Amino acid sequence: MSDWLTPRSKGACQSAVKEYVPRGLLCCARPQSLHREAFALAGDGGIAFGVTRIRIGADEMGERIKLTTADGFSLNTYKGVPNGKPKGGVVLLQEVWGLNNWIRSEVDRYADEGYLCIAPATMDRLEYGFESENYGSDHFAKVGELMKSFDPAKALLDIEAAVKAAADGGKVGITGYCFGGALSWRAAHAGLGLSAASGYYGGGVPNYIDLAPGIPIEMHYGENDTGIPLDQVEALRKRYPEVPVYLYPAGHGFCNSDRHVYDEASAKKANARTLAFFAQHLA
Amino acid sequence: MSQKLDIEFARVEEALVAARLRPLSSRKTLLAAVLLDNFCDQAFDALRRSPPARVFDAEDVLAFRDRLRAQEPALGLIFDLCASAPGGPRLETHAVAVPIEEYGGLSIEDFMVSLYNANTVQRVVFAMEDGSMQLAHEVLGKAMAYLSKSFFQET
Repeated sequence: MSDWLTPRSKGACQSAVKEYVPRGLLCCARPQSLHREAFALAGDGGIAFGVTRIRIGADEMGERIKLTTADGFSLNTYKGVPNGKPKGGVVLLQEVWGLNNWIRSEVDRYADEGYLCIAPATMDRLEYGFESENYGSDHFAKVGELMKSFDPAKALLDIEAAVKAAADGGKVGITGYCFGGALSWRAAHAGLGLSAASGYYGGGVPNYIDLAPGIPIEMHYGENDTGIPLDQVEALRKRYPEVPVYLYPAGHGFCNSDRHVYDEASAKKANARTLAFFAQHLA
Repeated sequence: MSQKLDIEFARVEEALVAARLRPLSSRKTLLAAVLLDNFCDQAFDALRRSPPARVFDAEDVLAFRDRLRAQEPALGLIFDLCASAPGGPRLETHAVAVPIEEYGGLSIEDFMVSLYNANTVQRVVFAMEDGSMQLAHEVLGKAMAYLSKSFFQET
């Protein structure tokens, strides 16, 4: 693999594949919806079909920028800008692996959907620039030690800075996964200038159930999540009957297409709901 | 051992497997506990006409349960849970602290959730009135191991 591209339309995808595949070069289509198109076209060129995502090199759709938080901290973020006038802004909150490949691809996805999207590196205060593609247990202890000093109040400062940046796109929604899902709920309680929130499988429900959201919010959980008791999700539903709490036949982390837990059908359904929710509340 | 008892024990095993697949489901844990409790009654019914030693010389099912409780405390907890005994255990879900040195053994789901919840994971426990707790799946496991050894293994 010596080169790769990120075409953003079917036409550009076809052109890129036709030009580069015969030369033995890999080609990746963005957004993910174009992957199948690219792989189908590239079949004769012998591209490995086992890979669902190829991101090598610096040719990403978004850009890395730094924001300054209210307490003067210089925060790494990844920013995705849509073609044309944004429909709104989205703050996207990471899992516990930093602004890694999958999170950056999610920012790109929201940009493709027409949103100015900002993902703040909410672990920067623990280890500056922390990012990892390693989902294995060999470094659990290291990350566990790192997170001991995590302060939710500081995370809200980081989120606030991201909201202000995303506001260049209009009304701002927030979404996030796992760690980011729980923080999405906390942000919805804090307000921070947000207009809507859509959180995914935020664990530790007892730690945020008492924080009443002040903005429209919806939440998404996996029925088979072995990190979040269904009883607690049920308690959240009963406590806030006005909040849509969706369940999917999937496990924890089901949206992450870089991991084996990825459940495509559930992820697509949930993502569609989030987009509809944002379309309703960020218009 | 009677075929009926074999079938009953298989049901318990099936419920335990289902509970372990959903380790945070207090309902599935309770079902496994109830079936374990019921199995003990079934065992006494099946063995009451056997030589008395097979039922630990118990004259009735209550005495039999007392014998089981004395031999395996995990069964006592299960009996008290199912009877909703005053002062007895309740099944609850609690955050349980995990030492960093044990992090490598966590499932990725537990690991991810624990990181932003003060290094704790959720566990279903037998919660006692005195505030102490025992991990529910450990209690069920001990009870199953005892029953399997006592009633299904050749001595």
